[in-house]
Amino acid sequence: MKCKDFVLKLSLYVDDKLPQNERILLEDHLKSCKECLNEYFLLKNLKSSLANLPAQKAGDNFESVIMQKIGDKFQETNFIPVFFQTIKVSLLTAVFLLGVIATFNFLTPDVSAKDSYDNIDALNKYVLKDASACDKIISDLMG
Amino acid sequence: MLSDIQLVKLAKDGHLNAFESIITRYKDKVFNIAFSFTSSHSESDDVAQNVFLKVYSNLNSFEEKSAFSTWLYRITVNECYNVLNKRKSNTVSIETELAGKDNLSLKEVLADPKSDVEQNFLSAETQSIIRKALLELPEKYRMIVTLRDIEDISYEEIAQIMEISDAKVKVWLFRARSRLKSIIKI
Repeated sequence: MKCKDFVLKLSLYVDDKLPQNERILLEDHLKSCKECLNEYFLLKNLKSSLANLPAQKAGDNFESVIMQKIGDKFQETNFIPVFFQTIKVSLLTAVFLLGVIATFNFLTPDVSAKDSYDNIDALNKYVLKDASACDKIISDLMG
Repeated sequence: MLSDIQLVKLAKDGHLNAFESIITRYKDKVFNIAFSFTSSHSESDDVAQNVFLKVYSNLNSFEEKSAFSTWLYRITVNECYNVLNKRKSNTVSIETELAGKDNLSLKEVLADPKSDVEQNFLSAETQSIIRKALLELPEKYRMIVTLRDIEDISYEEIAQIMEISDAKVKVWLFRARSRLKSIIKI
């Protein structure tokens, strides 16, 4: 392998990501090649410099700022669900009441005027046809 | 101490204290990623706030297929890109807090085999040079260097956060570091 090939592997080497066989080859090469060794030191120190940059920190009251924003956002978005929830409950109640009324109407016999006349007519016929039965009923009722 | 998943479940059930604990656990990480990407405290604060508001709004859509941190960092990366897009569309350029500083070479420091940067405190000047160089990287390279070298996130997690293949993580990291070296002129 040429120096160029070894330099390509240096990035993986400083991260300890080079397979063992390649690592042994590279380390042997570094022992004999001053230029590649120099490249290795540059890369290693660059990496260390980046790692040693002082960490920047968020402000002390960062949490309270976020929680306040979450609170504000939650209240804003909460208003709409509550509004729609109220509407939904009202609609469901109305539908339920309509259902009850419809069911009640369906189960109650529909006594039309014609049926009433038919019943009276049948009763008249019954009384006229069997008046004795009628008298019997009346006497039973009178005791 | 409760795990991330336990806190997320509590937060989903409406326990705001659990969500506040999540913020406390991750606020500095999110802020630091944003600062490495923007080099602006005010923009980093905006990014971090938007990230946690989005996390809260979308908590129910988190299905626990990946680690919570991976999901959180993916939102952070997207918010960072959004901030840059806004900055680009802004007719008045927003200067970062590093603008105007002298561009100095780090060659002597970084090329020294005896130099152990891990043990040394980085001077304000050196920090400024590195952060300024980061800003000159293309966005995807800046982000991958931030996640790997500043935040020490694994290749596998970076692949998930940036939604790219493992192979691409390796290639982008190599190119990003090479560019960074050439920007710093080493």
